[in-house]
This record gives sequence, structure tokens and C-alpha cells, in this order.
Amino acid sequence: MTHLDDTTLALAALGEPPTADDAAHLDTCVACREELARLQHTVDVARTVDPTELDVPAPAESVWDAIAAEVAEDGIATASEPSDGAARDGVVRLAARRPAPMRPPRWLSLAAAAVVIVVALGAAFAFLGRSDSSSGREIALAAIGDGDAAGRAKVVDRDDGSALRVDTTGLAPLADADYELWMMNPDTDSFVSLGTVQPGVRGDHPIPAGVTVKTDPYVDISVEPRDGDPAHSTVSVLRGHF
Amino acid sequence: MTTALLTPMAGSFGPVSDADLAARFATGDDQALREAFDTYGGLVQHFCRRSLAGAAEADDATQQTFVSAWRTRERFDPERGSLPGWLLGIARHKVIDTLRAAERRNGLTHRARQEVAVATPRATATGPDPLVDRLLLADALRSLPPDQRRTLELAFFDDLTHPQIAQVTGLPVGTVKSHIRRGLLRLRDRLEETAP
Repeated sequence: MTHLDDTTLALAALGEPPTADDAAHLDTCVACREELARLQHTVDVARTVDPTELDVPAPAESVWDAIAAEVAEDGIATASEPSDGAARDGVVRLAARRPAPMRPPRWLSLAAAAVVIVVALGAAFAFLGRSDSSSGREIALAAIGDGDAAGRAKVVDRDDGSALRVDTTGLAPLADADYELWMMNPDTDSFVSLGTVQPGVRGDHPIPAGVTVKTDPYVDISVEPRDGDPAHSTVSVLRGHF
Repeated sequence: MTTALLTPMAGSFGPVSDADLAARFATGDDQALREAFDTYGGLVQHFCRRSLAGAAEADDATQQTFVSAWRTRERFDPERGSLPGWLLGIARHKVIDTLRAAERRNGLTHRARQEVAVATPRATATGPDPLVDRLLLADALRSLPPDQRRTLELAFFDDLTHPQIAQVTGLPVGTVKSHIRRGLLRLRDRLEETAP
């Protein structure tokens, strides 16, 4: 059986009626119907385009200047950090980050965005105002859902690098599970584990190179079952935001 | 950019150069950020301006999109999607952040432009977005070779049949059909490669 060629399918997708022979083929051929459907979807989307908007203005050069300035700051900030040897003007990123691509469920991005509304109210009082320097600024960690859990987190500088100092209260001991500490950015699906947290014990958790409160501003403590799955379980108990 | 309109530079658009820029962006080539801004900055800005009420907010969202994209460029996999698709995905998150921040500040639903699919609290940040698809397709249409673009525009927006297009443009019918075939297939490929 010869299938319909691309030109025939393209014209059919645009709404030009096929010949009787071609129409008969389409009736019996799933593959050609699927190809046609893909092209029809393309045409449908194209017809929603406003032709007067086809030529869009270029952004002002000042927008580029602002981008370049912000990216250059990363370069300066990381110039003194160990690199893989390549001189780059961007952030030196993560040999130290989790090696396998961890993809937590998509809804976590939405949940994180929704929770920010709740957490921001609590964290607002602990928020001492925007500062470009992350070291030393302490944030509150608020409970997710019911419960009396609470916490604080701040970045501390040590001889061997930065660490996240975390205090918690009200976390119940767990059986067959651990509390795990994360720095995250739901915008970019970035979830960096800083290791386990012992309830009620202050801990300094080394922050991997390239991870900062700008790249991963959310601090999260989750309940992780001991199931061998290193991905974020999506069950969070505390969260805050730099 | 010295021209007010974002017009494709002759010979510089097309599958090979798109893929080349995407690959260089992913590997952090020094020039790739500027090139991505020159190539897709208008697209990102247009999306932000369609979604946010203030031009200054939209420009800020545009800026933050490119900054975030550069900082997380290892997470962009050219095998899995197109660079403009990925950029618009980030832009969408920035727009949502801006709208939610305004809600918190104002205690009101922020006045957003028509495409409120991104603004409603139940909208998923990662589900399909008609505005994103539309803008990606418009971007793909802009970057077609001019003959293919013109032919398809007549078919899409003026609803001309291919013999009518041949009549209007003076091109042979066979050439018109060829432009339609190649152009539509290219648009379909661009739409289907959108990053998740």
C-alpha cells in the first residue's frame, strides 16, 4: 500500500479536500490519519497567530546590559572557587551536584509556588530586607501543613567553604525514614540535597560548589523513606526562602 | 540590534543554525548568551508583555528569564527540546512569580493581560500553554525562508487554496505546493520539539 505523500497531507491539513482515492485511503490507513492529525494541529495553532504580531520588536539594549551585568556578578563571585579549569564568565556549575538527573513530580513546582504565599507571610517578619550578601542572613523555616515544627537556616562561611546552618524544633523522630535537607529552585527544577537532618540538633551542612541562595533560594526539609530512591519524596515538613 | 523589527538575518536561521546555537548555549559558549538574546529576545519579551500589564515588569521578567536560563544551562538538553521552547518555559515561571508576588503585595488579583492561563492559581506551571505554542509557532514562521513564509501566510490567514496562491504570487503551482510542504513540515517539527 502506498501512503499519501507529504504534499497531499499538507494540503489536506490546510483544508483542501482530498481526491476520492485519497479520501478512501485515509479511511483505511491509521498511519496516514495520524500524520494528517499532526499537520492539522500545526495548522490549527498557526491560525491562532495574529498576523499583525508576526514581527515583534527587539528588546532594548538596556535589557541586555542588565542581563550581562547580573551574569558577570556570578563570574566574579565564583572566580575564587575551584573550577574545572575552564575560565568562564558564567556560574561554575555542579560537578558536585547530584550526578543523576533527579526529576521530582511536576506538581512539586506548583506546590512550591503555592506554598510561597503562606511561607512568605511568616518569613516576612524574619526577613531583614533584601541584601546582596547571603552569608549571615537568617531565614525562618515554616511548617508545611499541620504541626508545630519550625526552624531557622542561615549560610555560614567556613574554611572549607559555605555551609547551611539549620536549627529545628518540633520534628518528631521517624522510624524507617530520615529528614533530608534541600536547597531548591522550582523555577529551574533544581533540587540539591544537603544531607540528612537530625531533629532538634543544630547542624552545619556543606553547600556544594556552585549552589548559592541566588541559584537555589528555597530551603526545604522533607521526609524521605529509606527506599533507595534519592529523589525528593515530595513530602515536605519545613520550608523557607532566601 | 539596530533595527526596530526583529527580522531574520539572511541565511542565519534554519534547522542547522538553530541546533548549533542550542548546542553552544548548552555547553556555555561565551557568545551563545548574546546570540540567544538577539535571536529569541523579542520572542521572550513579547510573551512577557502579553502576560503582564506593565512594560517595566515585562522587561524585568525578560531579563530574569535570560539570567536564569544562563545559570541553569546544563539543564537544557538540546536533544529533548528547542532552545526557544525552553526559554519560554522559564519565562512562564517568571511571569507566574511576578503575578503571585503582586497578589501578595496588593492583596488583589493583579491585572494581567488576556492570556490569563498562566495567572490562574490552578494553572500548572508545566502543562501545555496555548500562548506559548502560538508564540513558538509565530517564531518558527518568522524564521522560514521568505517564500515559504509568504506562501503559508496566504494559506493560513487569507485562506487561499494553492492554485489561488499561485495566481496571486505568480509562482508555478508546483512551486507553491513545494513551499507549503516544506514550510508546514518545518513548522510541525518546531512545534513538536518544544521542551516539556
